[in-house]
Amino acid sequence: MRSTDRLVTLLLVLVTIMLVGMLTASWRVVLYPYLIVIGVIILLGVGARRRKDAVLLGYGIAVPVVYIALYIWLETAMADDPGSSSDLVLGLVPATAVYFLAIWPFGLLVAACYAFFHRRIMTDATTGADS
Amino acid sequence: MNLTIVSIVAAYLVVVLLIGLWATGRTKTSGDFYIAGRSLGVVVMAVAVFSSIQSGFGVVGGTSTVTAGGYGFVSGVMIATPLGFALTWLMLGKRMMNVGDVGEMYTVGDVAELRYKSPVARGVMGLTVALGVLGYLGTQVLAMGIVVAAIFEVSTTTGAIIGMAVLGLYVVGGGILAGVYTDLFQGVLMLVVSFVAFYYALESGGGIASMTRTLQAEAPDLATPFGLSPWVTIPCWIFLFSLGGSAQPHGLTKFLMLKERGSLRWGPLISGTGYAITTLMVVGIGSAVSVLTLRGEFPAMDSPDESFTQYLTDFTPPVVAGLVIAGLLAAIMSTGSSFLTLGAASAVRDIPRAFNITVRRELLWSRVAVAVLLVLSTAFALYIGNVVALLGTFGWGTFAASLFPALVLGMLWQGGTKEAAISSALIGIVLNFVLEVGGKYGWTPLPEGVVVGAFVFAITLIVYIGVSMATRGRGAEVDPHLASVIEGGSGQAPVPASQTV
Repeated sequence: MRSTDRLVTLLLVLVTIMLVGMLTASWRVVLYPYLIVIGVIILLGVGARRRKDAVLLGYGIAVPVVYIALYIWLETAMADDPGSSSDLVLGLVPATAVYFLAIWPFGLLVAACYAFFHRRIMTDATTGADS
Repeated sequence: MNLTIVSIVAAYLVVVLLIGLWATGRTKTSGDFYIAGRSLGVVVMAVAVFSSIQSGFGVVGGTSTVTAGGYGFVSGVMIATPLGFALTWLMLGKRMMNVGDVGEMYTVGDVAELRYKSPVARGVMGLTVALGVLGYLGTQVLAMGIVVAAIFEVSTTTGAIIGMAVLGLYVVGGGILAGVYTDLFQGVLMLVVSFVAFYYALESGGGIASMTRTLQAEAPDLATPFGLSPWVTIPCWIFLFSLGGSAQPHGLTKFLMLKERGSLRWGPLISGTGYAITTLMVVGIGSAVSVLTLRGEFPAMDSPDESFTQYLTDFTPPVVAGLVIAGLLAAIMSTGSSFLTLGAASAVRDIPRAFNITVRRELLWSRVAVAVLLVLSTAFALYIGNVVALLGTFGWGTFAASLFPALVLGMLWQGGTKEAAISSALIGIVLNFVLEVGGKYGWTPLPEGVVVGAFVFAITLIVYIGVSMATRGRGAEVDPHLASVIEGGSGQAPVPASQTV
């Protein structure tokens, strides 16, 4: 099986799990598979270069790993009545601070990485020449 | 009627008309009308993408949702969208530009027919866009009517007609070229007013910490990132608005307008940052109104939808209110202009070609189609507004569910088949419609909080992959040029080793 087929099969499995999460109203069963879907999409997006370029492969793996870590951090901050914390972070309750000051900017960092890796991404994945 | 506000908004309308006049002079062919003659640089394209995605629904609806339900909408929808820009550029940027080299690629239907060698696939994509356009345009008409009526103290109907007339004047002549350059002006305006509105919102609430303390004392859930939204709603929104964002045709087709590959580099960062900045306006005003209401300092409203305009008129100087309202009109008009050209493309190009009919004098008929769409959508919205509101609610979800599998995943995976593309798109349209209409009439088979668009999107992805696996090998193979593009190549035929030096 070609690597793209394997990634698409993994996508099928992950989306099926998400569908089960929706039908059972289990937010974690929707969220965490989706965070892995983001990595699958990045790897599909960089095309055949993922097999030759460790940096792009690492990009596709690192993004979901960081997202999962951030959401676990959020879950920790949301344990026990998240709206009542007396400790504010830049004026926000800790859980909201994690969301607005870490998870939100990370999406922009993913976009910044696109700019940083642009030459690699634009290289013709099938010949290695500039695309 | 406040003279300062009226003057600022009138000046804004004059500027967009002048841009439209300039663009009309430069629009000579249907290629200019639909894809701006592939002449765009990165700043114009990326700002146009974010400003057309940030609509009146996002600004007014987002603000009212924050006012009534806390940060859940922001955490789910508005924080996911910038990530969506990065994913969109990764999946489609290079591929759409390389596909654009093949020939006259103006619409999603053109791309679908090339990908699946199927006029039926083109027709289904055209139908999907046409249905979504009806809903989106209708909601823009209604929003424009309310805003223009509030500024110029006319009826909502007159307000909608004035707004749509201005929109029509620049889109009929200048097509997407007028659309993207007005988007550039409108996007920059939105960025400026968003900072100003955010500053005033924090000032009126007494600073972030003071606002949070009020929320904690009166309604602690409103201080949390998910607000009053059911928790399962948040990942549904993240999925729908980040991954599904790449299938919105008003963003997707803009890749066909770029003039050079280097332009792609900063695109997602510009679009994502721009969108994130405009989110500040929504978070700021929404939470300020919420806090001021809890403190008893905000006038009673008939509906949370009034929170945006009510806040501006009561809590900011007229100059700021005028600029922010002009920014709101910009959000509405930039989305409306994109959808007018998309609707014209479906009517003049995609649907006729699905029946093997090629329209002669395409530019002329495109202009006629825009004018007809303007009149129809205005009449449709004003006289059967409830149907329009219904169509508007599932526009984003229908595009995600029906266009993503065929057009986005299909451009990443050679294994996708035309049977899969057609069936997943049709299932997306029907299931979204049935579940959304059912919801309006009390039939809600999904658990509370599950977003219909996200649920249908998951189903169409499964259908597309499953049907593709089942029907693989039955139809025509992907041609070598396109196969190379899908694998991340340039689309040029590889030079055989024997011919290299």
